[in-house]
Amino acid sequence: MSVLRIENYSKTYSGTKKAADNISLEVESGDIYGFIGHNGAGKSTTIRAVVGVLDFTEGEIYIDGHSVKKEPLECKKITAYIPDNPDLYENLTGIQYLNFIADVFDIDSQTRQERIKEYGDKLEITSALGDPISSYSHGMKQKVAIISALIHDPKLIVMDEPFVGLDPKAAYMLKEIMHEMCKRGSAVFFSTHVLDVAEKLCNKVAIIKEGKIITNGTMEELVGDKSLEEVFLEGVTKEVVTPEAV
Amino acid sequence: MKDKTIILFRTLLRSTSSFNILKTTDDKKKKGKIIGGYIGMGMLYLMLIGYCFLTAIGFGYMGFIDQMADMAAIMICGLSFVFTILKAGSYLFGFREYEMLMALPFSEKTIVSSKFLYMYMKNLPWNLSISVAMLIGYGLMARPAIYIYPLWILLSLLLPVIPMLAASFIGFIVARIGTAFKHWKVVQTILTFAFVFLAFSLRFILEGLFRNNDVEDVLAGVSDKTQQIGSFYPPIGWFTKAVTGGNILPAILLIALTAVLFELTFRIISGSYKKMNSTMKTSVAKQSFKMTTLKRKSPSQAIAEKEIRRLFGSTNYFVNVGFGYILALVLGVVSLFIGLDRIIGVVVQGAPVTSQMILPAIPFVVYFLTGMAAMTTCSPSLEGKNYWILKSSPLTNRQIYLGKIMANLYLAVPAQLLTTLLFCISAKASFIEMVSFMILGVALCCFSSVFGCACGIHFMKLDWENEIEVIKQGTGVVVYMFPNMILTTVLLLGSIFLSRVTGTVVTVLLAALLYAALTFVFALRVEKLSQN
Repeated sequence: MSVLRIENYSKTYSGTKKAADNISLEVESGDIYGFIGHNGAGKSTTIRAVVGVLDFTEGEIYIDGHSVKKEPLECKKITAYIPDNPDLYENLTGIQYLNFIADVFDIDSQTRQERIKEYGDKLEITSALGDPISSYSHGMKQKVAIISALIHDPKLIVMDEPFVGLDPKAAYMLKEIMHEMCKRGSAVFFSTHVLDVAEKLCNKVAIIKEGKIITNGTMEELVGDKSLEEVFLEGVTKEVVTPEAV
Repeated sequence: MKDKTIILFRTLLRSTSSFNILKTTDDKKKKGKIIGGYIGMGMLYLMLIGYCFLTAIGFGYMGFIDQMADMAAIMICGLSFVFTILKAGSYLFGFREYEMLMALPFSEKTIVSSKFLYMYMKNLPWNLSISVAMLIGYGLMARPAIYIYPLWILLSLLLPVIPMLAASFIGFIVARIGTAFKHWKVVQTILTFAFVFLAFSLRFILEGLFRNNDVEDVLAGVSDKTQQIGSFYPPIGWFTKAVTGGNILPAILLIALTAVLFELTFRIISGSYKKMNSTMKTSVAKQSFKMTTLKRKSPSQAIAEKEIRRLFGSTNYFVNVGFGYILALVLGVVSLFIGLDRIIGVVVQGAPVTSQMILPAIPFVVYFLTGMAAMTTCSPSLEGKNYWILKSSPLTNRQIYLGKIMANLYLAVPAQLLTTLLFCISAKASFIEMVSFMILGVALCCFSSVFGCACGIHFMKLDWENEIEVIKQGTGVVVYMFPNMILTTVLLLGSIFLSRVTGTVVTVLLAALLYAALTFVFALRVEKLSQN
């Protein structure tokens, strides 16, 4: 069963402009799925609908078989979301924030300590967890957001531009963590502008332009002997037929 | 498993409490400011406790012991409603961490009810100050049974809930209607203004119930009037019956009604919560811009224009700051049609005061409307996460704060002068009196902008979670408002008496000189703070 299934999802702003237009895609267990597109193409709109932040009327989104519309809490219990610019509670210390998230997911005391220590050490932020979040740099906030996303061992991790602001070591560790999670049966769905990263990291990719998916499929199918950059540039200048549709 | 509403409520309190910063920061200056803020707030609570206690004792000596409970209940309910209506929309909708919370396994109802409990908790010190002070007064005068004390406290904790629910529901209705329109911010602002005007009118009606031409009538009428309110709004009657008559049934009714309304309100609000926030949190770029001539401006002028756009772009900011300006102008226009004397008559509830008697106080009366909420008290804090834009620009702090002061003057001066002009026409002031009022009006606006700026910079808070925290509840706002209010009252009354000796024009010009001197002192303070 797919971990994330988007079926004919559309989102209209101000009654006319379609930010997402009949989007359908499927992310399976073990997938690292890249979502690529220009600024304003509809990536964040889609991601925010997947994680239950944004309301939508057309189409359906399922997470592990649960409908985002009808069973939002079931979906959120097994999903983690890392926004591009996380708004954390600035007056809390890092550890107070992580403890709050662990309370929300009802994680037992020992497990939360182990996971915070494990990911905190990997991302090299454990020693700063006693400081207020307001004193953190963007990258440090991003690291706390990543730990908070992993604390409940989610089935689906949704990330919006996750590598922005991370130092090289933290970016490397995040990629390692993504691989580990997928090996354990989770799936990762993320948006990025960094095509090199997507090409090396993802086994599946979708390119979105003006709210429409113009191509998607496995990396091998899409890229062939070209680079992802070439495929992307070709795709955004002229419409490409999706391999699944062929 | 812990209740998620409690988890979120606790975290909201912790994340906005300066106590958490006090515990973790090593910055002595920051600690000093936080402790100073606590002392200031503590003094305000003590003043309120003192006022309520003396009111209770006064009532007791006049033989109105049984009405003390009504009075306490009316004060708690009235204050809770007025405090909440101005901020409910901001607390329940449009807060910064919406995305983070909605992505976590919280139901919409959990989020909304936690936000409500947070608002309740923020009001609690005010409500408890009233309740405890009145209870002590009642205890001393009436010597009730011992069980009345905990019962009074318990029920007075519940009393603010229903008015707050009503105010929250109004905030929801405003937001719900607004989001149905394309220009939802404009619609929300107009509707919020309408409800705030209504709430203030309600305050006058309630006050009117307790006022009359002479003290004896007031006291004689108190018993009837409070009972009238008790029957018009049953929870107050239930509270009084429970704590004065030792009757348990009204107490149960109050508890049950509060619980039912709490559940019902949040069930309704949570039903369309996500849809409303989706509308408020998203917008579409038209992508139809065509380059035209761009005018060059001075840096301070550019900042002033940015500030004014910021004001008009936020319903909360505009309603809190702009309410006084609009009310002043509305009253100015109304005075032309019905006469200033009739407006004064409504405010003083029929006391024999005429516009000629208070003529030298006209600039202060107008200033009470235009000068109690200056933009500059919160505009430095409102930069929030965008503070870097100004700080990384080739601007001095002096230019930045000058721009903020100019923005306040652009709005305050026209409102002050126009309203003064309208009042002067209505009160048939002479030309020379009118000119002197204008001079004082400008001096008052300068003082307000500069003093507000000094408070705003000194108590700047950039790491807010919700803009209403710095617009309405910021330490800078409170520190600005109270001394300003006391000074204005003293000079308002002082000018009336002094004018009998020195004449209106001389008195007003003396006041203008005083405000010019104060403006200079606070301008020096802003200059000094700009160097940090």
